[in-house]
Amino acid sequence: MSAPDGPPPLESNLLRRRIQLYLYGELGFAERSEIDCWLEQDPEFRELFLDERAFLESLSASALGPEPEPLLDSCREALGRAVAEVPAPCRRRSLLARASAARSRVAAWMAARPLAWQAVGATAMLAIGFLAGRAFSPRAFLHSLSAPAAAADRTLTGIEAVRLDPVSDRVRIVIEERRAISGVSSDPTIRGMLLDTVQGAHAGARLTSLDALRVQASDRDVREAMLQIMLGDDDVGVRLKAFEAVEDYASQPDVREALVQTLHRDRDPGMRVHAIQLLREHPGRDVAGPLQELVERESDPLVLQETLRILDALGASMERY
Amino acid sequence: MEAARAEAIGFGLEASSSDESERRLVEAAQRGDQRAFAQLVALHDRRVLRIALRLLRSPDDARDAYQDAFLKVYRKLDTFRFQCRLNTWIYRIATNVCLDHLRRRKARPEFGALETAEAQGRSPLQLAADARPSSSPERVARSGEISDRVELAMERLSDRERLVFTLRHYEGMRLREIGEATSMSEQAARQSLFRATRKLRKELHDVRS
Repeated sequence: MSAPDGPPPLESNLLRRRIQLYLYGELGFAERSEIDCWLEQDPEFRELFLDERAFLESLSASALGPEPEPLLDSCREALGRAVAEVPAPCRRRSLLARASAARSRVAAWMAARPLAWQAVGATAMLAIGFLAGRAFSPRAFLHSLSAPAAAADRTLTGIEAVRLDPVSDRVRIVIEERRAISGVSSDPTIRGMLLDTVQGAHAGARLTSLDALRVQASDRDVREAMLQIMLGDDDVGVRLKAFEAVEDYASQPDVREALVQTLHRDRDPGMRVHAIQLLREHPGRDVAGPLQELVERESDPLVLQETLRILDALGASMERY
Repeated sequence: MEAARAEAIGFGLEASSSDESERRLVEAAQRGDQRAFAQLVALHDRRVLRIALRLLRSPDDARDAYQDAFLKVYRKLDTFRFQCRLNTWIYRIATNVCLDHLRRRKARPEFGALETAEAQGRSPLQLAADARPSSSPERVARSGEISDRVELAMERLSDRERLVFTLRHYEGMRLREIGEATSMSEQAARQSLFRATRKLRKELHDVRS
């Protein structure tokens, strides 16, 4: 152990202890690294290391043997019989029950005694109450109260306010609560929340809600909400999603009216192109007037071309008179 | 009637190992659910029995210690409040029971089971396993030669040294866990381990695997 990067000149026993802790995995990273370094650079230390390892392995090898399964089985059987003969471990509860019974006995005894004896009885009852309170563990009781419910779907995210009414001594706590609700979109609760969400502030939630409601676009109230989004949402992606949700109902008057309004009001050329193409697939005289008006002011060549085609197909004039 | 009740306890149930499921089992057992207690036993009893066999070196004494330990666990379970891990608590009870057995045994003049085992040149673990069909006579004889020497060397250790060495070397418990399970500091456990290995090395200087 005289190599320059070897261990300091420690007694062999102390080095063996370090090696032992290393082999048992009881050393920290730095100490392990130190041993690894000595192993690489000091042949004398390596020899000591291998000797110690061989010694510990010899003890392990000697202990190798099959699991004592037959003995384990017989132990389990015997324990099963013994446990069946022992009363259930409800010692604290029985103490409480015994204290309660004793209190009742003392109360009955007191009622039949003179006043002086009743003072002695009252003291005894206080003592019983004190001991019962000590025997009963409120921690166990509180613990059972705090056990999580099987279908818990809410978490408290913060307490907003705590108010104390000094007269009644009642406390009012305003809690912010986070809940998770799951179900099909046709569920009245889910449906109502989705209809609220499509008008909410979170664009991603609006998009997903529109997707979820799409299968119910045949319902008048759902379609009305979608058309409002299609005409008024700030986010063009959300407007497009609402457009896609109602495109299967392009022959319905409310949808046609919304498509015409999109052509006139939406600043996004893509939305206007989609609207005019859908109207071209579902032509009708009801849109001739608004389209004639559009020809006079439309700047997008594709929208203008499509509009002219529709008017031509309808046999309508390109101009308003 | 007793047999039927014992069967209902179901000591052969598969045990779950996660901490959370173990906690639920403990709580159920504390409410008097004997099936839950049986599952807890199944989680920990194999190691308890091995420790008892290594410390007491007698299958009969190990069986007694096993039963004493788990009956204590059963009776005291309602006082367990999760201040430490359940296995630490069980091993603490089991090691105390084993040490009590050793103290009582020293007070007895005869040492029947141990002497029988040593006379046959087989360790108590091997004796306990002899009933298995896979335990061939050759295997028992081969491992018995070294094992016998180790058994004799272990006999020279103090009870505490043997306990710490068994838990660390054979059961793979960390010194910190051993300290908790044997009510001693980690440093004290470490010193016991060093003393045990020094004595064993001295006794077994000519034995290598």
